[in-house]
Amino acid sequence: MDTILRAAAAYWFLLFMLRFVGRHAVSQMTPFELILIFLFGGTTIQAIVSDDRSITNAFLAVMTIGLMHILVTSLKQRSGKFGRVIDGTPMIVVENGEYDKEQLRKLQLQYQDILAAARQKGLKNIQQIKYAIVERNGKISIFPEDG
Amino acid sequence: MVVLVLAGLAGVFGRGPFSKTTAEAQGVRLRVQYERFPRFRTPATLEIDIPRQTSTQAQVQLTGDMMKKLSIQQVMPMPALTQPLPNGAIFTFNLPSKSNSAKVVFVQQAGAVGLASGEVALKGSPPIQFNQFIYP
Repeated sequence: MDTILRAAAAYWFLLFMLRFVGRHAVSQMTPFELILIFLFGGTTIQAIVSDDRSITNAFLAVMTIGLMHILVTSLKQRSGKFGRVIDGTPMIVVENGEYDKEQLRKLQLQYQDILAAARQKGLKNIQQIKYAIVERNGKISIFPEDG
Repeated sequence: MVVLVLAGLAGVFGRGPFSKTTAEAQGVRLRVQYERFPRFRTPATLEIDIPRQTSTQAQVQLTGDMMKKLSIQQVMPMPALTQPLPNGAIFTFNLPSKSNSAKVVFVQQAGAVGLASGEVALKGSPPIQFNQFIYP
């Protein structure tokens, strides 16, 4: 019983924490952000399984987390507002070659992150970007200037 | 999956309200609280309520398959004496003189899976018999 309650609590807490630390960290773009994900998982798993090393306990924890995932997915489908709270919305961070500094600050992104995504599209500088949009999964979509 | 998780919450897979149960021996008022479903390599408790004795010592005898499959990790309070038996052990506890009864707790840990039968008795009295199923 305890494992199920701890696993459910850990699921909601981690969901909140991953939203709190920002999308960029979740998309695991650099080793710096990868550390965060590893430590979140490693620290939480000890609290979930506690002193119970049986496979029954592991199965119950996995089933609980799976059930929480199905619940959140179902709630997201039923309520657009809930979906926006859980996943966020796409955010424009560059428009017509200009950074939106306020959005970058909110998303805890740096100029280099935008430029790194731009280089993958073959663009060299910010002036070549018409729109840069941070998607719900933390990836940065780049739309080049026409011509 | 919902049913399995609800069953887990209830304790059908151990460590929940349904997992804990009590057996009593009416004649000697001996009471044993044990876990129906202990789990492999996980602590489980066996609580024994000893009724008031004519002497200041009580001898509790634990025998059965349980003693092979669930090793005793800790006994609270510490017994004054432990005597081995072929299929278990006798634990002698000093009782508080003015108390009506005393409670002793055995912390066990399963080293095997499957069915296990146990017997708890005050020395010289008929035993309480119970069965446990150890989950892997």
